[in-house]
Amino acid sequence: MNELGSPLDTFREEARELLEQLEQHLMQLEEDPTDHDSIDGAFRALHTIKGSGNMFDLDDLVGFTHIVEAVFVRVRDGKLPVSKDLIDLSLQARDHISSLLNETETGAADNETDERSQLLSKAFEAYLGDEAQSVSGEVFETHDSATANHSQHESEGEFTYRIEFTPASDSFLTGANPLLILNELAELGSILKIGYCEAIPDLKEIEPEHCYLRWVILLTTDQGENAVRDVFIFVEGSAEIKIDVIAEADPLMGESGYKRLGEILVDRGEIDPKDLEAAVSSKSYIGEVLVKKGFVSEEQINSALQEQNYVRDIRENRRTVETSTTIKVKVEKLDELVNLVGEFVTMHAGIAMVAERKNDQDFRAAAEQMEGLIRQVRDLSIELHMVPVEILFSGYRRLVRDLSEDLSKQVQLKLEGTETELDKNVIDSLKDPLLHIIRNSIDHGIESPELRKKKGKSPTGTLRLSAYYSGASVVIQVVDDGAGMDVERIRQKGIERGVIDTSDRYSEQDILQLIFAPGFSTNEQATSVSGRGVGMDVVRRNIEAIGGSIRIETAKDVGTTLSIRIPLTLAIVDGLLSRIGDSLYLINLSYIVECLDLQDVRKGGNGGDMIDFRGEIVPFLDLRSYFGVEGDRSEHPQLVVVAIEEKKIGLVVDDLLDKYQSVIKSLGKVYEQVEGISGAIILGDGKPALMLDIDRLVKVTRDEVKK
Amino acid sequence: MADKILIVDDSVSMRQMTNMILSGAGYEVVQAVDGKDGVAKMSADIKVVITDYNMPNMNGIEFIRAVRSGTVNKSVPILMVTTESEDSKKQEGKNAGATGWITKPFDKDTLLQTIHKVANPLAF
Amino acid sequence: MIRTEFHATTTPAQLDIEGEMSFVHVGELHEALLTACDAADALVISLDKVSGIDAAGLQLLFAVCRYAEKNKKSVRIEPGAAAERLDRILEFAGLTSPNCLVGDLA
Repeated sequence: MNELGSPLDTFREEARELLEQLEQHLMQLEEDPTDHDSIDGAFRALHTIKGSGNMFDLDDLVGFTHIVEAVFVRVRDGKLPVSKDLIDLSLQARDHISSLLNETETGAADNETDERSQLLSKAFEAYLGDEAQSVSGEVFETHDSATANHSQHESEGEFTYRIEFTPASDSFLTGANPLLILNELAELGSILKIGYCEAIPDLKEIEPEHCYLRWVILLTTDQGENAVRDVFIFVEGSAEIKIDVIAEADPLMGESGYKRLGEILVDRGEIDPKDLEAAVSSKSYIGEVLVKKGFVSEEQINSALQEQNYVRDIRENRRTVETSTTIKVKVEKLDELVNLVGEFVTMHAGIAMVAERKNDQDFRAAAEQMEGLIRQVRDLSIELHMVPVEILFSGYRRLVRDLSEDLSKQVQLKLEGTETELDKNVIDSLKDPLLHIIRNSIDHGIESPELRKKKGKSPTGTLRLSAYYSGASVVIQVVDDGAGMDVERIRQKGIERGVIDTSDRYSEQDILQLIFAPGFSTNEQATSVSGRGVGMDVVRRNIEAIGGSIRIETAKDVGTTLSIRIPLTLAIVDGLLSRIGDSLYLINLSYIVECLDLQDVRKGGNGGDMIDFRGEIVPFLDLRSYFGVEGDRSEHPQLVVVAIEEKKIGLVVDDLLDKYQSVIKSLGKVYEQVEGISGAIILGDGKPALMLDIDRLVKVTRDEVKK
Repeated sequence: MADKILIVDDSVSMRQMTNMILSGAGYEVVQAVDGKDGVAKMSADIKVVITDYNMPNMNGIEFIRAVRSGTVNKSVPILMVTTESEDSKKQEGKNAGATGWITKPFDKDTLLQTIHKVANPLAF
Repeated sequence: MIRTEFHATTTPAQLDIEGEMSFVHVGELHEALLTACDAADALVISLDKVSGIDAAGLQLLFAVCRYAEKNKKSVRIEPGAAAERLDRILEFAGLTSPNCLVGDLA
């Protein structure tokens, strides 16, 4: 016996010995087919090979041996006589098991043995008759353990179970310590154990080895009933076990209160409902009455009382837990957190760059892992910083009411998409611009009730504030059903002021954008509310400062819609770093449709300023000439296709570098005048990069094409 | 002192395997090759017994009966190992006084968890 | 291991229990308790030297109290140094202490 080798080696050695024994038994059976010792021996040899082989995952060996063993079970049970044929076949099986065993050593599973397994199996199955199906179909239970099966019928939430547990009287003797079961239950959740000792007889009558104790256990757990039942798996059938759910965590169940003492006793079957009724009618303290009348023992009453208190405590605990799931945090602290995370992101970018430059695998791997973590922290901190626009919108209720009264107008305010979340800073920045827009809508947009009636509209105008997600942005709309803007009038005014010329190359949108020009007002009669056009230029500046854009749609007598598009968050952007000459530019990833090699793209259009992008004619902008960058062009310029609301353009850059996340710093004065740049960032190595204002670039490029 | 566990199994590889798992988990293992040997090696300081069902000389059921009706550590928790998943074998074992069972093949965690389930660490 | 020592001549009589009041020894313990209870009308059972107690051992203490009540005997169980042990098992099993038990249990 070699105890020093691996268990698998030992198994092989053992199995070979068993096969040797099997052969001896088979030879003996050939002489005396009824020799019980030999039948038992043959069976046991097969059984042990199968059982132990199973521990080593030797599936082929185990599967085959199993069928042979099944035939010997029939022989042992007297259902099948030992025949010459069976002996011959069994000897072949013995040899085959032996070669299967050798295979486990060489690791070579060849088709020949497989075929032989099947052939012999079929022959053995013929001896099984009706049982063949069930035997070959039997699944070898892998881990049918006492603790498995937990996952079935697991229920969500917490439940309180009442478990009545009366151990078998011989449970001490069979090593089944009932206290161990209590211990195991306690591991599942919070527990109240109520022991009953009333069944213990006096010293003379007691059988000291018997168990007389029983328990009522209240268990509150988030584990399902199966997990609770599993605790009792070894005592099931001998102990009495009753498991009921007495309290569910379902909030819809309400706080219907705890069961009355009497109800608990009835539930437990400790008192007849009729007796309870009789006791209740006597009106004094119910527990006392029940004991006095001898319906229940004091122990039972106490236990029921404990149950009542337990359920109450659990309920109260739960309430405390629920109320404490949100905490208030000062906004400044959140701001600080977001800022710090931003710094963190920048710092990491620096580390990643160094790792890249040093070309150190381990360092790079660490930096990459760190990036994943930082991303999570970043997302979380941004999430913490998001608030629903409801906060913003509902602040205007009062304004709309007061303003419409002042102006003798009837305005109904409707809020939509109030659950849409935006960065707290964005919300703050939107407050004033929206105020101006709403004022203008009520003042200039919505007509007086009389005029509305004359136009065939409802005398009450509607002002709708809505918010919705659109890609990486949120769109906030102020919609009125008023008079609409007079585009022609705005055009005339623009010409008067010399902002535009008399040519017809301006689109309606171009002309409408004029109202955002400083000091531009179309209403000759300035009112006390919206003033003389003061504000709309400020509105645009404020919105652009947070990376947003604003659009107007209007129709005469139908109304005006102002759409403000703002990025979801200000703090951090994911961008693609690109190079033009010596300068670096960051392109917001959320706008990028695709990156291509410019060489691979077919150019077209009049002046060769269009490209064919998947069958779509798209204008493109050479950023090198747009920004007036000097020096030699790259040999392989890249094309980045970006899109804003389905409007695509191509941007030509010298080179694409890497993805980059960054905190946007406010623009220095230097860049304030540059159209197409919305901000600047400092890269990990301290170099600056400019953030492209894609919204503006798309507009500029497409306008250029129109001209 | 490490808790002692008695393994009763006629298969040397099973014993070796179980021994490895249990020794690794810090138990002290006593081995017996069949029921008869198991009865002989039973002692008061054994915390749990793991016995095979099918064994020559004295099988698992007979062994459990012998322990329960004996005088040495007769209430020791006994786990019966069986390849049969039928309830009849478990029931037969329970009727003889087995504390629980464990179905072969088992893995390390299952074995240790099951032992933990019946071993008596509760000391008052 | 369990050892009992019965002092029949003192008043009240005293039974000292030493060792483990566990299932393995309940037979022995039962006999000793019964002998002591029958031999004296007033009895003190000292658990001071008890080094362990399990559910089977605990049951016997309840049985002693029940027997004393029934036969109008004065039996007191003094936990002594085993008080904490006794307290822990009672709490664990969710049982209230047998009513002839004296002394402070936490």
